Amino acid sequence: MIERKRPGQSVDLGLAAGWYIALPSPSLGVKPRALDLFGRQLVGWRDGDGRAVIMPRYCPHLSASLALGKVIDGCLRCSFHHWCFDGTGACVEIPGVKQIPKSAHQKPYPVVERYGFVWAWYGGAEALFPLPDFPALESDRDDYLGYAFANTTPASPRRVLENAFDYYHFMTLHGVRSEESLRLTMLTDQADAAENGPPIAAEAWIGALLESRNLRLPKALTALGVKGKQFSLLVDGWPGGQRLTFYLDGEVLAKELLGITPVTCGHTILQGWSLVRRSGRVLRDVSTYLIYRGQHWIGTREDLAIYRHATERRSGVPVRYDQSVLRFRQHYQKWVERAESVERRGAVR
Amino acid sequence: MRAEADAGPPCARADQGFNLAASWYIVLPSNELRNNPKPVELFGRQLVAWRDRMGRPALMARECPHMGASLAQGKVVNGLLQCPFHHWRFAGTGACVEVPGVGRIPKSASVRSYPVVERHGYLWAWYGSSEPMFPLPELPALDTCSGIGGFRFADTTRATVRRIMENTYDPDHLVVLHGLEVDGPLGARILTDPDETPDHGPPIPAEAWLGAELTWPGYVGKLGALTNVLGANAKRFVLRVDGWPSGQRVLYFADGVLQYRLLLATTPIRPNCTVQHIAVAVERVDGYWRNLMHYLVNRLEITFASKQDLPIFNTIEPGDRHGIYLERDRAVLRFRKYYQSWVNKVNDDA
Repeated sequence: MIERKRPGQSVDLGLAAGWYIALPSPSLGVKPRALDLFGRQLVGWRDGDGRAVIMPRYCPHLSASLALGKVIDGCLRCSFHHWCFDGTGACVEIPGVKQIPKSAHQKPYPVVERYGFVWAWYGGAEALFPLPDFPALESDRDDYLGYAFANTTPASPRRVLENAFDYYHFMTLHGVRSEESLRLTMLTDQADAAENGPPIAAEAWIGALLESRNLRLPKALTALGVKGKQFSLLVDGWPGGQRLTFYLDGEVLAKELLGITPVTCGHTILQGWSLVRRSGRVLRDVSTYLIYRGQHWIGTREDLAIYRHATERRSGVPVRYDQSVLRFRQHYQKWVERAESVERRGAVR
Repeated sequence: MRAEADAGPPCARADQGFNLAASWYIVLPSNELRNNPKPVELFGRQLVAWRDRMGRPALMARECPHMGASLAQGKVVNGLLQCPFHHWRFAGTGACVEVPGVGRIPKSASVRSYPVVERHGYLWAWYGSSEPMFPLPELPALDTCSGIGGFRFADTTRATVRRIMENTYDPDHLVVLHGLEVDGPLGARILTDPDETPDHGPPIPAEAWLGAELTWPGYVGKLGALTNVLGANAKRFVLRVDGWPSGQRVLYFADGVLQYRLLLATTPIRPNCTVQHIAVAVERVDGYWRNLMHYLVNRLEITFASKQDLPIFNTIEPGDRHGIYLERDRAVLRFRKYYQSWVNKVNDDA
């Protein structure tokens, strides 16, 4: 078990560089708010143009929380001595002081607002790749019935993300039955993941295709009229999130965008969107939606129960069918090291 | 915490050390310690406070050295604190003086005790060494004000002792946070001689002493109008503070006339959890109704201003990191240096 940290302590989470969900867009209103993210104490606020800004929470002057401050003329004003910071984190005004100290600067995190979330980049002052596209939530939004989900877990972001590459647990934990074992193929060509969306920056990308043959659906599902012989899951993503497409007999059944909010050690939120494909027939769509949502709910609970009691060991005892998980961990670790090297260089935060 | 030892990805521990000056601190108000021993968390440690038959207070480690029972569950028998588990008995010095059925008491059977003093209605303890490095300073006015004139209160904050104490040396926040609308600049001057504070009380030993004088002209704007109506405005205000690393005597003058004397002291429960105690003796003025009004205005002002600091204290960065110092933060910086010099004096083997 991992001990949850008391708020206020800065912790190195060993995170991979990447895009993470800071918070849902509607949760960031006109008032600044304290954010615990990346194991750090941050403040989120919106500048004069409504753009989200995420930067260190404590005023560089005498360390008051900027979350107590007010946004005035597009600048965040500390309540203690009225130092004002603009959307770039620069201190632009100190009452009665002409020369503003150069060090009075709160390094902001790169931020993008998309898919109903504020995303923040972890790993240096510049994002190393753009936030990946997910057309099912934008241009193709009308083709889907969707709902947002959010779950809190003590598991690390890595454990949550590697789960999709652990094909064996679909059989043992989630009870997927088929005549042959599931098969997982690591993808080498982004063209094979086109259904998820346009290519992701090559270095950041990792993907896999999970397939079953001669699926044996549980009686509960067949009774509800669900038919299907072949199930597959296409997953691809970047070190902080994933896009998923679920197929039944070669037809797209549903999609998912999974984002991660690394709050602090032992506190991670997995959140995003589930989208069930519309067929045009309302009754059928509603029943597919409810069945999908139900199995997603059950599946998530099964995973969360494991996460809740799991120990984060650096290396487990890998066996034959863990190849793809190990492959994912390698990829993830590469981006942990990239984050470490830039964070160390700019260790001012 | 130990569970994390073989956890990975690494969640490094990020302990914010306990940046505590060697000094006198309030354990609790005297009236909260009666005949029964009382568990106390102080200096980040689990302690027990109790009184012997004469009512003399003692403060020592709570855990019995024998089998670890809590001495706060015990009772006072013949002026000794008796452990509930095997009835070992301890004197106020922490020494075990009786073990039932045993002739020779093991030498290691003693608990750490702290020097204590009871004064101004509080129990005080010395932190930092086995013997105090200076006597507990006094604010005699607190003992002579009776009836209308005295009041006290306490607030638990999430700030460190240093952040609470340095606040008095920060004239700027008076304007910005407390909204003082004043007719000119605020000044802050570090005092150089304990003789400059004759009406504060007996002098504090020079090496433990620091003082400052904050001055500002009359109030204007809404505050000016309000204070004019209440007869509380003046041409020149002086806030004079002197103290020891973890406590302060604050005197407030309007046009040279003393308004009140205030004691500010702290109870460091654990890092980033500190109780701020304020005890005030308001000066008497002639006439019953005038005096009552004078008292109420000052009480309101002190209480209100102190509550304004709490949201800042409760959300401020944990620990005592340096900030960016402007020219006008000189007094804060001076206080921090002085405070740290007393942190460096800590020689504590507990």
